[in-house]
Amino acid sequence: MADVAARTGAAVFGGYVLAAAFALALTGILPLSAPEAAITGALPSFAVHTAAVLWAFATGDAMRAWAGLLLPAALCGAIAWLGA
Amino acid sequence: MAWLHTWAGLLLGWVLFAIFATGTLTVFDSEIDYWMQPELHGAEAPPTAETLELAQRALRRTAGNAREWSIQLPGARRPVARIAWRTPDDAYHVRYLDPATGTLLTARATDGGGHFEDFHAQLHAGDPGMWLVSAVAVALLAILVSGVIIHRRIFKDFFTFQPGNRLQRAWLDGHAVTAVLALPFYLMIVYTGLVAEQDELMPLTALYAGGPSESREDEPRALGTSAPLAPLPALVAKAEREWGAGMVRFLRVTHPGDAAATITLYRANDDRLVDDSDSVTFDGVTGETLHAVTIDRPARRVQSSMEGLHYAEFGGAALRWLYFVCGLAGAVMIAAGLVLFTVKRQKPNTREAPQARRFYALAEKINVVAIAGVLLACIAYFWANRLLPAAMADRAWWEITAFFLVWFAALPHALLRPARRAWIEQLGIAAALCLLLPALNAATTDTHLLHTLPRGDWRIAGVDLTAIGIGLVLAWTARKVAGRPQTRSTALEHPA
Repeated sequence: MADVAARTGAAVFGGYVLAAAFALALTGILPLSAPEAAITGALPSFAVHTAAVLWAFATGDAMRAWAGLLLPAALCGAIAWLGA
Repeated sequence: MAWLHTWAGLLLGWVLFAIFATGTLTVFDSEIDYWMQPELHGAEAPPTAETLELAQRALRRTAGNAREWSIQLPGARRPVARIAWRTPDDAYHVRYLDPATGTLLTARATDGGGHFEDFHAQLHAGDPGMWLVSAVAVALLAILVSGVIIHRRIFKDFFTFQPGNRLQRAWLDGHAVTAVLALPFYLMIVYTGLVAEQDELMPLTALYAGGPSESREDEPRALGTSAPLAPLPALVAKAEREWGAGMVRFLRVTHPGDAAATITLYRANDDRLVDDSDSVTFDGVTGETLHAVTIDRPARRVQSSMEGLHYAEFGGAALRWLYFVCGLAGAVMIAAGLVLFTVKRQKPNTREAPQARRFYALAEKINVVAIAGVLLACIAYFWANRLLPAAMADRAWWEITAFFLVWFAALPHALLRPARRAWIEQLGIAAALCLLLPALNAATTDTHLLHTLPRGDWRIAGVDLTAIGIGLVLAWTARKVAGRPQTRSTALEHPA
């Protein structure tokens, strides 16, 4: 039960953090005007969140589920920070 | 993957069916609006120029001191002009133009199809509801993809002979067939629904890129010196030379009668995928063009086209019917999946804990409320529209309350009755209310099937006929449930 709760938390919140960080990173690196980049960055983010949900429940255990979402989210955050 | 598909499908399916069913009804929101205001039936709008003259005259008479006027011109889906104004104390008034007399009609207060749209998009719960629906939408994408992944096994099962398991087989086939046939539609409709809310869902990107993408223009201030408003028909004709005849569908006038008045015309979008309205603003006194807005940034056009795909305004009645049928298929897919969960677990399994058996029995009852209860609430909303007094205070609120009261009443009913009886009774009542809706319409209005069919008024007749069609399907389903062989779940509810 605790495993399911931790995976669900990863799917919902970890997945959102990754999707939002991905959108920011894409917005940061796209050579478009600001409003255009913001739209283009957010468009694919829901597919990222969907993949994150599948990952959270398909991977070996809850620790891996969280780590596999937060590490790429941190990477995306760094790209966004550098691109700002 | 199978585990995720089963459990996420069950728990979220309870919300998803309602979201899919109300979204499917929203496809015909304007038709439902019109059906729900019989006071407006029969008034056929004259040509645009004449409508505009009548509207301008009526507004000057009734709302001369208003801060803002708006005129929604009649279209194919709603043949009556809708007139609204905002008074200096910020009160908002809505009336309809009677083309025969040029006076303003008051129609019964109703949210019409807007109720289904609001429930579909945010469960009548504002921003928190929108976030919840969006989370469920992402989950549905994951459920659909996981369903595709486990589909390989289902395909093998298709050709496996499973004696004595015909009921489960039928539900699995129903679930798989409706899922596979319209899978691209489901992926498209869920994703575009998320894109339509993406500015709210992903607010950080716009902030990060440097503020919200579109800044609202400041309203011009009134000067306090009066000046007559330019005649509207000439300005509409000017805009339509650019956009095409009949393409102006909405007008907004700020500070009518003031020297600082402006008139903004908006282009209709029902001839194209992009959902952004072009607009042109004129000086309200001289009729000079002040500025025109056309959104031509490529990314915004992509986003706007995806919104257009979701709202289905671009392809006329044929496209709306296609969306309606695909939406119904989605509702059937979800319902069959929910029923499959309980049918699969009706066989006795000695290794199962009693708590598990109790949960399965409860799940079957929640299924009744989440499927039959929602259908019952939807048709009850149509009945409330005809039965509540036309002049009642807070009338639109009461219609929506009727929807929720009926839905909530379905829960104790399902809990108290044996599951199978609960299915039959709720489906049966919903079927009866659907089949009797045309009779109720005939008892309360003059625009019922006996009048609308000979006249070929499909706008109104379509609602009655669709209710009959859905009523027949629900009655057939109730009969099937009543006739199916006794299963173990019913035996479980009455332990010896």
